[in-house]
Amino acid sequence: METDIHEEIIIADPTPLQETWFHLKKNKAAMVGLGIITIFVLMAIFAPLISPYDPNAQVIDDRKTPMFTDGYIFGTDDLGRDMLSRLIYGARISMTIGVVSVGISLVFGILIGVTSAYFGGLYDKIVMRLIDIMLAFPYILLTIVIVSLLGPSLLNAMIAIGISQIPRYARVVRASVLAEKEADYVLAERALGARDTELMFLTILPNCLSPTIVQATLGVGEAILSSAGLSFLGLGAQPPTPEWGLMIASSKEFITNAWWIVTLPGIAILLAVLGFNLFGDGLRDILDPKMRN
Amino acid sequence: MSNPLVEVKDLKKYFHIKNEGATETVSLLKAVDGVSFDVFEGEILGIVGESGCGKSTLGKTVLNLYEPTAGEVLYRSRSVYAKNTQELKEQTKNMQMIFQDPYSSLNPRKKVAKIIGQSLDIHSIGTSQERSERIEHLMQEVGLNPLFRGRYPHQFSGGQRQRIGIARALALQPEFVVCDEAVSALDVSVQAQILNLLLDLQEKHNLTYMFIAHDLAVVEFISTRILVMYLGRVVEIARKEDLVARHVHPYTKALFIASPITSPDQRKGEKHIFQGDVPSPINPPTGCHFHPRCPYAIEQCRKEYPPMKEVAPGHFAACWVV
Amino acid sequence: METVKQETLLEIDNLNFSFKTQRGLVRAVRDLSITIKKGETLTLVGESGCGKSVTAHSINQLNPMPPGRVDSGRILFNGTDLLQLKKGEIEKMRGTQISMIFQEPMTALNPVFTVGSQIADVFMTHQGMSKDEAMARAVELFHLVKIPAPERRIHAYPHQLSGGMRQRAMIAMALASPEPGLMIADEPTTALDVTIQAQILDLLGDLKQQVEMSILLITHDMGVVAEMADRVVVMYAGRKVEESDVNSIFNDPRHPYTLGLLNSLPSNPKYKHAKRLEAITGTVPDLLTIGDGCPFANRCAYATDICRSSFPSMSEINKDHSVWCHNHESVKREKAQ
Repeated sequence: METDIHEEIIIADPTPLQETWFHLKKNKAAMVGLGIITIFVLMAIFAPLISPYDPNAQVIDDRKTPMFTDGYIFGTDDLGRDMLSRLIYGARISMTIGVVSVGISLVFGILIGVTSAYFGGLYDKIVMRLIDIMLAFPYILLTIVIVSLLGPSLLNAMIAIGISQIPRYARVVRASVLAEKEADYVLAERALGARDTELMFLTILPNCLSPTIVQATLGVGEAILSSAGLSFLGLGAQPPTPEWGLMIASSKEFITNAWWIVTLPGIAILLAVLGFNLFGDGLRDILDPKMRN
Repeated sequence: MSNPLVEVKDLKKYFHIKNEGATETVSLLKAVDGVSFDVFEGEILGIVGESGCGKSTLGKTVLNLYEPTAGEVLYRSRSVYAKNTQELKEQTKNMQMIFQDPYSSLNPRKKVAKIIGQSLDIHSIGTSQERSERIEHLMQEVGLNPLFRGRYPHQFSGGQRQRIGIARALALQPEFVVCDEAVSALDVSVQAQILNLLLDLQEKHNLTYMFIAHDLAVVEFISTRILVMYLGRVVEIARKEDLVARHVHPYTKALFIASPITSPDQRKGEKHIFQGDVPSPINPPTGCHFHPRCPYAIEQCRKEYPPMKEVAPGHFAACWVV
Repeated sequence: METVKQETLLEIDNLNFSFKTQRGLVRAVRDLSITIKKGETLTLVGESGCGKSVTAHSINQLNPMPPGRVDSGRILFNGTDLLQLKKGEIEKMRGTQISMIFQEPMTALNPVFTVGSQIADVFMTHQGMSKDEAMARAVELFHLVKIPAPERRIHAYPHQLSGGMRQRAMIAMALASPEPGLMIADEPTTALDVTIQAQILDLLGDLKQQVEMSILLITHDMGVVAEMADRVVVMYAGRKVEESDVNSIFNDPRHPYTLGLLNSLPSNPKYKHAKRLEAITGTVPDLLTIGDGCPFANRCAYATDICRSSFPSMSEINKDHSVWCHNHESVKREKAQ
């Protein structure tokens, strides 16, 4: 015999994504962060269209032009290159650094974190010890070692930063998975016949993404800073790449007589990292307590 | 009731518990400690007991969601455990579980249709169109409006989520379903609806249930046979009518006495309430586990665990004093 | 035995309590009026979302007050309006004249202090006793709640006690107040095994006789109501729908919901040989979309048009029994047993 069909009227709830957005909009700081990020991302994408000049074009006569002079909004550097154009293309590079580095850390961090939490045992113990060792290394030292092995270049700097952050992501993911894997719904899907791979990546992982996403957002800011640091040491981007950190490094001596050459890239780094931090913090506030329903 | 569909033979499941504070010392939690019984086709076997008796662990071990420490479970005379991956996967079509907590037993990131139809995807059953129809049919069977197929679990009430869980369990058309405290987390009025639904489905599809619960009244209502557990062991098993008429094991007596009254008119009776706490399964008492709380205990009870005796046709109890 | 004193200890007068959520205003308690006399055990019974816990928590201001707010009403305790008290004043009330025991003793007891010291704390803070006097009183109380070996047990930490013991310790703490006032018991046995529940209910029954106090008992379990209650208030979706002495609720229920609730219990003797239960269809309505009609109308077998448009006013069956239903006469003809 058929049971009654219940026609309860349920207010159409928003999807989890819409709900996150709704809460996010209320956080002013996070919205500011998002705004800053959007500006940089757009700069990165449309760099060729919005740059007034070629970032590598050297105009000897216009060297060290101050800001707002002779058609150079942000002035020129010691080789006569337009600062604004270099900053805009720098945004493209910084965004790429963020994506590539965090991407590497995420992919391997998730793989390691999920598998060690899920399978446990000796594998987990070994992996965790390795991670502990990696985390014990001073971060800068680790990246320097990796770059030295691979050779100094921007791409290798991105890879080095990515690799050195894997342990952190692995830990975050592992902790999340450990908590979720005992949940009833995981057991239920196993009872339906789901295999380990499906359980790990399609069942458990999607429910562990919140802390990982927060980590990744903050990680972009950190990657940009790290890259700047490496460039300063000559291990990252090589001249004439318009990478912000490199721009600062190669113009240290102009701090007194042409301060804008050193300071503007610094401000760019500051704003970019700030944007990601504000947004990441806002995400964390929302994703952690409220989403626990 | 004909042949045993499921045979449980001296099943044991132990857990290793890390002791608090200590470095590597580990205690043994004997959740299920030598349990044997049969489940016959078409019956509803109620498993009742309090916390720590191992009934939930029993349900999960019988379904191979936990690996057993020792013992055997046979499904249609073939072992549930000794199988390769492919065979294990096939087996899930026969035996399914309905879980207790409607809030944690559904994947919060999946839409209802995906939750119910997941098993069809896993086992590649039917075409996309056929699967969709089956999901719709299942939803109607359990009393859910198919229009809600695109919603997420958090948009449903507890009772509705439990219906989703039932639909999911039935998607593969299993013969044997373990209901692990399936109604315990629900409000009384919703509980009644779900109990009716489970009975309807059982009749319609000729299902066999192993119904695990701590509420004696619920178990009494729904079961055809009842099995009482205490601290990892079976203490009594009988047809419902027989058990209600005559509680042989002292623990069964304690359970029935402790059951809340159904009307204030029953207040006058002097109840001999069994004292003492439910002991922990980490350090069970020697001999018969119930002896410290048992008013009938004799010397033998402290020394040796009593075997199951048939005290009447189809009625078994593990007690020295009967 | 009838209580001799008829004085009113607590009076909830037209309480309206709501919560502001992102999806709208949830009216958790509507137009609720309840009185508890001295020495009386009043049970608030209902299912999830009926407002019973919110009501209990309003008494000693334990509801989270930013999302929650009192829209109107008073709660008079011995004449004082508790809702008007400042934070410091209400804190003095809690633990002296109004005590509370919770469903989950593990979360209500402080895990880093021994149970003995937590009880002694109440004596030392509110009654100015010395540490030795207070601990001696604690042992006495443990004796009263039948905790074996009380002198040893007062030095135990909460996690070292079993669930039943913890609940007894919590009851002991609730009895630590000097004046027998009001004990609010919020689902005190729900988390306990049934054999332990029987012991705790037995204990509470004994204490009722020995210590003259009023109990406001919150529960969803009709068995607990049958054991403990003198009077019963049935709540549904934030409203009171029936109120009577305990015998009438079981033998002569007049509200369709009360009847439905009793019919939902598998322990109801009518189901001895039955195949199915007489369940109430549908689910509790969303408190956000509830209108001004009777909230039970969409599930009610006796509902008529008027039920959907207006909430019924009180109908007095007799001086001890009232119901809020337009069609309670129809219900009278059907009995629960």
